Amino acid sequence: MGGVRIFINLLLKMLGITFFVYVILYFTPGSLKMRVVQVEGQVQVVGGDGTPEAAKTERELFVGDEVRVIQGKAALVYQTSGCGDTVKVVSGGKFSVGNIGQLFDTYSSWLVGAIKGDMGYHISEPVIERLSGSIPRTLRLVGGSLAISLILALAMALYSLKRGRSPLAQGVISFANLISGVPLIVLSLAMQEVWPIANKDFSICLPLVLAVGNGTLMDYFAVLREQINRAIHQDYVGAALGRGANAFHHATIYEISLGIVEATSSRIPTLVGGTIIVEVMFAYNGLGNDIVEAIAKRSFELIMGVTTAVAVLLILVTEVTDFLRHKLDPRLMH
Amino acid sequence: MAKDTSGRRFRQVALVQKESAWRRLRALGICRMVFVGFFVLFYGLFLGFFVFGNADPHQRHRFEQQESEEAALSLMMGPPDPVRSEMMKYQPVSAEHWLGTDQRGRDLFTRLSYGAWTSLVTGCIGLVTFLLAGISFGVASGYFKGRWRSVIIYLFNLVNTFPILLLLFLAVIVIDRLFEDELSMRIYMLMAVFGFFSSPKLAELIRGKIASLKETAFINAAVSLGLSPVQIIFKHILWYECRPIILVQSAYMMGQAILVETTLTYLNFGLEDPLISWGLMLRTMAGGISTGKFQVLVVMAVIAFSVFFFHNLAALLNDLLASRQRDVD
Repeated sequence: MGGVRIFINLLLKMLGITFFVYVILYFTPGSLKMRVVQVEGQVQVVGGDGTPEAAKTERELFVGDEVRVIQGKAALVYQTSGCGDTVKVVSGGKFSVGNIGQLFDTYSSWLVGAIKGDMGYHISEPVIERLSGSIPRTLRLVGGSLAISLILALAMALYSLKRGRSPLAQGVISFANLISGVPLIVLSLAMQEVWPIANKDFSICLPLVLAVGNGTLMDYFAVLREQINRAIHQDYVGAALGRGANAFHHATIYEISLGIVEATSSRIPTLVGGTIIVEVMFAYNGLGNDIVEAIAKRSFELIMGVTTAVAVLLILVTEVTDFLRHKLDPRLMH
Repeated sequence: MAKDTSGRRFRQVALVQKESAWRRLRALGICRMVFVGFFVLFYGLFLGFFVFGNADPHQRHRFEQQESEEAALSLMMGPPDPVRSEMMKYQPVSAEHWLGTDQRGRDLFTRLSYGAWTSLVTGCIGLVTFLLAGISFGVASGYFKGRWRSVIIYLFNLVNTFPILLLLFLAVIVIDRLFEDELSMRIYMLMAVFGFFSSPKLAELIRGKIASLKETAFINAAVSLGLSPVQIIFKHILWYECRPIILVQSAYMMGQAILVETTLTYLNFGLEDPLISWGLMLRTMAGGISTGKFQVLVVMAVIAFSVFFFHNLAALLNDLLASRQRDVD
């Protein structure tokens, strides 16, 4: 039943978010493809698919052509039939454009296309192909960041609970606090220069920067220290320890897991936001880099594709963590 | 006689309160207070130079043309022009350029002071929107019942599950189209959008506080005495009870607003070149890090320091107001 509920919630929320984004784009002229509804005089266009031969092709603009107007009313026209041909107005005449169809019609046709795996083209590359490359990279970055945060936070929490007053523990926590206070953008810039001295490979650097600069590490640390502290001071855990049981009794593990799940649930939107900054700063080809490129080039298809992917990822994580929280602590159900 | 005794008692109470206030402040940490005080001075210095030293750059250009009076006017002119460039880039610290010059030979200190003003204005726009939206939604969902309450709570959850940066990117498309001819307006509108989308955090805190207060004796007494809902909400709930929450969240929001403005400008979605902001300075000077130019580090430090200050101020206010609440209890 849990799986069905997650699926229905996922579907409803995904539809809500994609529709919200679609409405924004629909009512912002120039974002969606539009249809030429009136042409006065002759409008000559030249363009093609980016190849030198096609750039010299000239033709006339007709009523019914699908175009996208960017940078002003008629400065540049993008025609997106086929593989994203670009068409540039070179001379004369006037033309006016209107929406291709009603909001619900165009949204439903986009949705059907997305379900079938056709999300349109970004320049001359299918969006779905682009996303299939970006999503795993972003997931790797987010997952790596969570794993690094968790390992470091657990080590710090255990050490600070065992030797909380030692200068080393105090120093490490103060240093981690200080570094976490540095904005992600500044930390990324600094790490770009500092890291290559030791290692040219950025594969560990990126998740580490994201974990520290985005505050995930210190959030996990605070939650874990509190949960472990609370767990080991419970009467029954004290009694078990007195009888010689391991400190990591299953009750302690349970408390820690609950803390981790709750912290992950609340941090994941901020973490994805941080991913955008890190990916752009380090020129890492993930969803964050894609969305910045899509906004800069006003590529509607890529914007819709990336927001759908991010929405699915976030809603899935929220639903799964919600489900796990209820499983770990059934009292939350009531 | 009775009057004297009462006066002495008041003096004693005032003394005790003074002592406890000092104890509270001491408990909060001297380092933290010194840091906050230092930052106020540092930020004040930047803003002071912006307001008094650079009030009218065009006027100064006219003065500069009168070569004979140049020496006499040099003191009146204040710090150098932020857009006047010199031949030598990345000049070192000197009496003329207190923090050296940037990659185009422009005075860094003056540009930082202009950037401080930009960050203050954009931060205030974000803060005002944040407070207006947060308080309105918080009161609407906490004090009043009905279908709107569940709608507002659902929208809070939806906004909280989505990264704000992504929402801001979507806002860029709309704002660019609406203000096609005035791109300098973009960052102000974006900061207002940021304040609006950040408001659910404040709204949820206010909603929780109102929910816990709604059935208390003093609210029931205020209702029985015939006070209007506006009076109860603004005076008794928001002013007396929610003031600490609003103060702490405002300080935190100011830090976040500076950070977001810097990030958006760095990513090319904010201010453009004739205007001056810390994010823009970072973007144009980023290439200087590899060549070891200390000016880039100065800009990075100023941004980090400002954000750190506002976050620290929020923590300080939180501790201060919490300890005060404990004393009252």
